[in-house]
Amino acid sequence: MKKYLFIISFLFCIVYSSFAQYFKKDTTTYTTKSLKLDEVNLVTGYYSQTGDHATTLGGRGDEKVTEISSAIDLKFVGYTDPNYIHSLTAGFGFAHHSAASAAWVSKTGASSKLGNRIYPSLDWSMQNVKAKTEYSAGAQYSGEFNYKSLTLNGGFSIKNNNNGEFSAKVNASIDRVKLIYAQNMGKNIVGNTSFTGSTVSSNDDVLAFSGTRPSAVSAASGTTTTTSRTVVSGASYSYSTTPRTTLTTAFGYSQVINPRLQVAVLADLTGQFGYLGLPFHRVFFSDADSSRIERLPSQRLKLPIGVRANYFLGDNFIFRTYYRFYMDSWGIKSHTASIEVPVKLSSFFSISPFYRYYTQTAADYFAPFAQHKTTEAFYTSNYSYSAFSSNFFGVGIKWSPLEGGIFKSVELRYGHYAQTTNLVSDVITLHLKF
Amino acid sequence: MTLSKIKTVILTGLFALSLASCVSVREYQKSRINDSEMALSNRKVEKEELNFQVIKEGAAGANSGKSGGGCGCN
Repeated sequence: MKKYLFIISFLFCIVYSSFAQYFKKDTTTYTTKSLKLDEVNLVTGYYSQTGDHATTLGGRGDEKVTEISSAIDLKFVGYTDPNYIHSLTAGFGFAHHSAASAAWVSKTGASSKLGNRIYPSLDWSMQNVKAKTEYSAGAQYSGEFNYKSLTLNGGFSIKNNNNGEFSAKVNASIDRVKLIYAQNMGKNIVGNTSFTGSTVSSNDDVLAFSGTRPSAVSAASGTTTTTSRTVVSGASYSYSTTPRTTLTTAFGYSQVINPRLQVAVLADLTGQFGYLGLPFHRVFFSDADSSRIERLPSQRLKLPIGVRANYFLGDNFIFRTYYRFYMDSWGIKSHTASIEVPVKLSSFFSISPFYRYYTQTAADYFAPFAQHKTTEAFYTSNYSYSAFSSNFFGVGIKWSPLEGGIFKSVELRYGHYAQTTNLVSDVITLHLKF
Repeated sequence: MTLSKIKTVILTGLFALSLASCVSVREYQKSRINDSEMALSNRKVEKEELNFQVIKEGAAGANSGKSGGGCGCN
């Protein structure tokens, strides 16, 4: 897949540079400027999460995750005519994570908790200044051990004479899920242990129960024992894959209301098809002693509608506001509201406190640990489908020095996130623009 | 009238009111509108947090960002 992406990128550059040369010959009627590096963006982030609803263990267990990521993109801009502005952006990102639950999804049979992801991208756009239109196309790839995703997109936008802009975008993600079943993970588990507590540690194998099943949701009142497991150190396994496709059409209309206020209305329609669960997500039942992997419908339709409104108050305050209503065919309805207030302390420096509130209802197919019945057609104990609300708040600082320095801008942002499911996380991001 | 209907009516009304107050804005009047922090889209510095929100929450989309695809396995 990476090879194809590279070949497509390479061919595109060749074709593009050919056209650039062709237009360059005709300099008598207009000026031509071939693609030149205009901007470089480097974004580095650190994410840390704790929680106690690991999906790999059926909705209980350590959810600790830490991730460090870094992405760079290079934006080239050129003209084939004073009216046509072309831009080409090539990006590459790398993320390395450590997840407690990943020990149960190991590649080799050992209890590895580490994983890597790469995500190259290539985006092109052509703006027609005279016609006030813009066309765009792009390709992104994301690859990690158990999941590969290729996304293709195309877009169009047009501005009217009254400071309004309509945009439409189509997006297709073609994914492959590696079928590492929960049963396979038995090989990863250090066996012959038992537990009576209500929490699951990395040494507890809850894949299979024997003896009397606790009647309560919590296992605290009962005793569960594990079957014998063997750790196969250094072995490797081959897994088959299954497809997942995501198709999105996104529409937007933005309008400048007055010199201080602009608003945008955004609406997406997303359809997902294929295998929409993950094969190592376990579900435990109230009427059975053994676990199964989660089972979800093979289709999901999502309909989010959002409104943004940004207002510049006086000379120093900006109010960035956002609201979104979301519903999908799995029964989730949600509301998201956020506000950010960049305060310009000087021409070069601003500080931006922000707050975001989110709430959702549960999906029709969600139930906590050991509350599903085996007679149900679909079941999951993934807490991202549960009913919860969350708060996210933090602050960002931005420094935009005058032209001529190394940086066009430097931005640092920290946020603290807390769900009512006990999931808590912190994220810090640094954005350098050259 | 249910709460959701009331919300819809309020939002629609506010939006209609905003549009009704549109005035013609010339290019030279756009110094504030063109400020980078007035952009009606997510910024690159928000990329990391948008990524985990898509994974850890049931809703996604309508924010010029990702609305599906990808694993979010952890």
